[in-house]
This record gives sequence, C-alpha cells and structure tokens, in this order.
Amino acid sequence: MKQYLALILFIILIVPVSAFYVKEDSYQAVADYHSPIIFIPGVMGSILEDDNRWTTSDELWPGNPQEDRTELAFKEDGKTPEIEGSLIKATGVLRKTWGTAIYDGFYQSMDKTAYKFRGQYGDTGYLRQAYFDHAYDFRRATEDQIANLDKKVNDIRTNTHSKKVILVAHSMGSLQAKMYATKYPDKVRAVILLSGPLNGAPRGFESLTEGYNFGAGALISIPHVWEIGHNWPGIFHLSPNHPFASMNGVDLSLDDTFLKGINYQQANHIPASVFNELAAKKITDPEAVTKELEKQFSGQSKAIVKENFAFRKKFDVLQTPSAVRVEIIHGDGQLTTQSFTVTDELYDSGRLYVSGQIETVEGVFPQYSTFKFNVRRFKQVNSKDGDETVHKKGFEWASAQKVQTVNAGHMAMAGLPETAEKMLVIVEELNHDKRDKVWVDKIKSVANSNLANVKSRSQSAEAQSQEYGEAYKEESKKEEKDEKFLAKLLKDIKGRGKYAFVDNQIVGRQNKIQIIVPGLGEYDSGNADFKAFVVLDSYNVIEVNIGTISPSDYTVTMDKDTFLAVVDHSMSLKDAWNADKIAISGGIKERLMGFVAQWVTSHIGQ
Amino acid sequence: MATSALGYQQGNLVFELSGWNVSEQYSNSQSFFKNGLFLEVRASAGKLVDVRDFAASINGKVESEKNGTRYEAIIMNDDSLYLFVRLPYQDKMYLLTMTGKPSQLNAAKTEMKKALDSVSFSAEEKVVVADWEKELKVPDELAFLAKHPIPWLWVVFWLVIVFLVWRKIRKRKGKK
Repeated sequence: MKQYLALILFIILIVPVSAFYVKEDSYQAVADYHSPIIFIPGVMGSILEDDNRWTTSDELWPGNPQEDRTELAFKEDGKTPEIEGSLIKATGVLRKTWGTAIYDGFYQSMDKTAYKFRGQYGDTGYLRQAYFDHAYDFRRATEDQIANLDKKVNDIRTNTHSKKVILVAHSMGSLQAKMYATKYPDKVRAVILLSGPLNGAPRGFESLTEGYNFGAGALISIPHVWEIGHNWPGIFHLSPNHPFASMNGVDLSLDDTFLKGINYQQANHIPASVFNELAAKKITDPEAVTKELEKQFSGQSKAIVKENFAFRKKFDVLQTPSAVRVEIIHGDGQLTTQSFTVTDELYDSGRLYVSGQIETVEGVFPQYSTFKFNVRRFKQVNSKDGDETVHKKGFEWASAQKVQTVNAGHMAMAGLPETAEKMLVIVEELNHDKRDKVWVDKIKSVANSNLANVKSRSQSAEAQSQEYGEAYKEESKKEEKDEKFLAKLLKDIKGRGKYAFVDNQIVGRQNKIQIIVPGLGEYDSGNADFKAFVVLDSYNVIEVNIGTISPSDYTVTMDKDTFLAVVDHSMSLKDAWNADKIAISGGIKERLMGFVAQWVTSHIGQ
Repeated sequence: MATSALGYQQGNLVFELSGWNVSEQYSNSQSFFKNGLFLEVRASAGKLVDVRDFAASINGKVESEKNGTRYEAIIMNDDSLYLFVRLPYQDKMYLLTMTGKPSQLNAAKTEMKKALDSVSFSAEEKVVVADWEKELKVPDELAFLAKHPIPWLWVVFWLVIVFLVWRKIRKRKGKK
C-alpha cells in the first residue's frame, strides 16, 4: 500500500514541476517564417471620428453628404483644428462607403489566401499567416504618422512573435511605409507599394486648386473637399516633387506653382466681406481687384508649402538598406494627368456690386456689375502613362528591387485579384529568405535521392521501353519534340534560377514546395512578367505552371497510368505549358524530377 | 406577393425596409440598395449642411423642402438625386439619405415614404458592430496542461529510479 501512496505522491509532485517546462512552438523556434502583413490605405481611406463628441455616431469621414465636415479642416498652420476642441482619430480602414467598394476588394482577395485578417488564435494561425491594417489621420503630415505606425508595428510584432513585418501600402500610405522602413529597417522585412505616389501626383495638387474629390463621387462634393482639405499637409505631400506646370511653354518653378496667383477654388470661396471692403474702397477695376485679392489669397498656405518643401528635401533621398525588400506594383495604361498648362483668366465673382453693398446674384438687378479678377487655371495634360491618378514618374524609387504593373486604375488596382497574386508571390519569396538548415538539408537529401533514382532509371530505360511495347514507342516519338522543348525549358530554368520554397502546410509536414523562377519570361518571347513554377509535393514534382499562381491554386491531380496527363488530355506538352498548367506523371515526371533535382542541388549544393 | 419588411435599428431609430439589400452595416451607419437607389441611415451630432449650399456645390437645385416634426428636402442636379430627411430625437439628429438618378424621383419618394412610415424610436440604443470594428483579439491563454505538458519521459525515468531504489531498500530490509 505504501508504494502506491508513494507513487501517487510522486505524480502529484511531478505535475507542478512540469509548470517549469514550457513546450516550445517548434515552428516558431525554427525560423521567422510568415512575417505578418500590415496594410496601410491611401488618402481618404481611413474612418475618422471625433473623440470629443458623444454620440453613437461621431464619424466625420466618410460621414454623410448632409453633414458639414468642416471639423476636418485645419487652419493655415496645417495643425490647428478649424473647430476648437476637435479631437480626431482614425478608427478603421474604409472598406465600403456610399455603396462603393473602397478597400473591400483588397480584403476579399487577401481572405482567399492563407493569410487571415487579424489571425485569431486557434492552431498556429495567429503566429503564422496573419494580416492587419493600419488606419491613420490622412490629413496630417507624413512624419506625424510614423509614431502611431511604430506602435502598431510593435504591437503586432509582440503578439505574433515576429521579428519583422511586411508593410503593404496603397497610394498615400506608401509615403509613411517608405519613411518607416528607412527609419526602422530592423522591424521591416519588406515594403510592397501599391500605386504609391512617392514623387507626388499632379492630381494631388489639383485638389488644392481646380478641385478634385479623389473619386469620392456622391459622398462629398468637389468644393467641399477643397473647403476641408486645402490646409491638410497630407494633401500637399501628394503634390509632385518636380516641376509639373508650365505657363506660355515655360516650366513654372515649384515656388511659382504653389505660391502665385489666385486659384479657381480659392476664387469660389472668397467671403463676401472681402468684396464689401473692396467696394467700400471703391476698388472695382479687375486689375486693381486682382492685386488686392492676391495680397490676401495668393497661392497655398505659406506655412504648409514651406513644411512640404522641407519634407520633400528629407523624404526624396531616403533609401532602405538592402535587407529590406522594396517592391512596387502600380496601375498603368489609364488616362492620367501628367502636368498642367497654366493660364490666367478673367473670373467673374458672381457677387454684385450694388451701391457699396454686396449681394448674391439672386434677387438683384442684372444691370449692376460683378467683381472681376484674374484667376489662375490649371488645365490637365493627360497621357496613358499612369493609373488615372498618379503618373508613372510618381511611382519611382531607387530602392525598389522590382516594379510590376497591372492594367487598372488607382483605386481598382488595390482590390484586383491580380494585384493580390503578385503581392503574395513576393510575400512567399520573402518568407523564405531565411530558410532554416533542417529544411534545406531535407530538400538536398531528397533531391540527391531523386537524382540517384533518375540515374538508375535511365540505365534501365531501354528495358522499360521494351516493356511498354510498341505503343509506348509510338507515344514517345510523338512526345520527343515536346521533351526537347521541356529539356530546353528546364535548362533555361536552371540557368536563371532564383527560387523560393513554399511550405503550404509546413506544420503538418505535408510538404508542398513551390520553386519559383522569377523573370523566366514567356517562353520564346521574353516577356519578363512571366514566371515559371515547379510545384513539388513531398519533394516529388506534381505540377509545372507558367504564369501567375496563387497558393490556393495548388490542386493537382496525378494519373499514374497516364504517360502525360494534360489539362484536356489532348494537348501537346508545349501547348499545355503555354496554356498555363500541366500535370506530369509517368516517364516524363521522372525525368522532370531529375531536372529539378539537378537544379536544386546545383543551387543549394550537394 | 408583397416582400416582407425587415426591421433594423440604428441608435434609437427603429425602421423597416422591404426589398432592400444591405450594402454595409457598422456602428456609425447602415446602408442599403434597391433598384439603383441607395439609402443610408445614421445618427449625427454634428453640424449639418444648408441644403442650398449643398445644391450649389453640386451645381444642382433644391426641388422641394418641408420642415415640420422632421425636415425633408429633395436636391437634384443633372446626374443625381438626393433625398435628405432629418429626424430629431433627444440630442441627436437621425439622417436618412437616399440617392439615385433624377429619373428615379418618384420611386425614391415612394421608398422614402415607406421607410418613414415604419419609423419609431426605441428607448434602448443599438448599433451593429462589424467584424472589423471589434478589438484585436490577443491569443487566449492555452490550457495549463497544453502550455505545460507533462514531460512523460522525465516522469518515467524518475519512476524507474524510484522503483529501483525502493526495490533495493526492500531487499536490504528483507535480508535484515
């Protein structure tokens, strides 16, 4: 009896002892795979709320057309709220508003991948493929956004046990992504910029002058965007950093562009009291009126222009260390404003001068004259070099390793499945930059084993050929041409090899490995956008794919009895290859496996 | 057969809509669409625009305006139609905003009337909180034994040691 008691006592003692033993997450312990993704939206892409209002709805942006959103305006210093006591904060990314998808497409595309929004704890979901978003107050200067972004990055790094994050930024969000990555390169594995106007866009400036509502349609009128936004440093940061306006065929300096003349939206918003004063002084001649008005209204806010130029001086020279990968994907082929031709035109104020009193047009006798003065107009010069909103020049950054395009507009491109696929290919390559030794050794070992198998099979090829009989020979003749093609192609792959391994279900060790060969080019035409993929399942080749691919597409069927199983069972290998997908089995599979094994071993060593 | 109406609540405002599809629902607003018309419902505590200023900003015109227990206005330009309804309740203004094409004016008025006929106020506020509005969930703590699994190898090792020692002691005692 005593021994049983001793045993029970011993077990009771050992259980608390186990508290000191913490099971390590083997996945996490091996390598920092799957850096979390943080999505940063563009201008007007975050919900802004006033923290000082108490109501169920304290939303200022996007708000409603019935609401006066003047509270979003800043004074001329670009910092002080137009309405005292306003305390505005960003609370979420705008997915849909006023019946229009804003970033809904982005989230839908992402949710179809292995990445899950705010990955919740379950299996290893939280630790692995999770993506997050970061709303921000787009009115403010880019530099003022960095501290908040850093807080979000640190929170996510802590909660996901990740050393680094991947920043995916659209439009204006790209500015802070660039700034952040250069300031904290140790926290960023990569920045993927989606149509990011790093060098600005003429349309950004247009919102300060002629008026532009960033495609917000029925939600907000163009004049109201100017009313609330003409003192937002954030908008100024979207203006080009290079001359983009010309007058009488001569380029205007940025100083002249930003600081001279009365622009159209300003002219529409000059208060009646100003005309009252002019009337009192008996100033009605257009030239004299122009001079007087220019004293008060000419150009944009001097303080914000100064801040913008200072920002550009610092921002434009920022470069990331090579450890941070920078990739650009932007929309292209859309009619886009690349510059403006500037003219000074006589403008009619619409306010009548009647015996020293200013009245609106309605109800006033038409014989009285209105105030006329010169207004600076910016007429768009368009070309198809851009994404509707940003001209190609705006996307450039010397740190970018690669630039890809999609044939879509500025907003549409962010939600395009094609964009998500391009992005995910980059992410998968990134996640495996630091392959852990165990996996590489396993891959090498299997590759070597495959190589040995292939050599052995090769020696008995003739005997096998006899075994398959005459039918096999006939089949082989038909395919000979294709095999040559395949050999040539794989030689090509071998020569170009840059690769990544995709461990689709790495935890379960159901290994699916994808070898990506970027820049392969469309076979025979050298189209640089094409990629070739060789997918291995447990180190056996199961699919060769050319073109873009998403991880969710890894559904491959193998037919062991078929010499060559192609998509519709009637295509030649070359046709199948060009048609995007082939499944390989039988003899060709073995040979292809051999090629891949050779290729793998030549790249990562025996 | 008439489509049955569905009930919704935004803050204190309770309303019914028949045949409308939900476009978006989150704490600040709910929006719906039906045959090219779009309807948004929200509570506001902010300053509201003067409809004439709004009409001027879209190069449009205030077609009609009615002020009573609630405020109603119809604004149109060449491309769009806006129906503004403002319903005051306690310290908030409930805004119903419908948009569509100018040719849909009659349909929009009928739909707005139907929605307004169904309106009532609840003493209890309620909003729909979208998934993405919920706070980021930090991973739950694992169950104790999942986080600290019993190291069975270690246990068995010590059991064997204890058993051997116990047997030795027993033998010695037996000899004595």
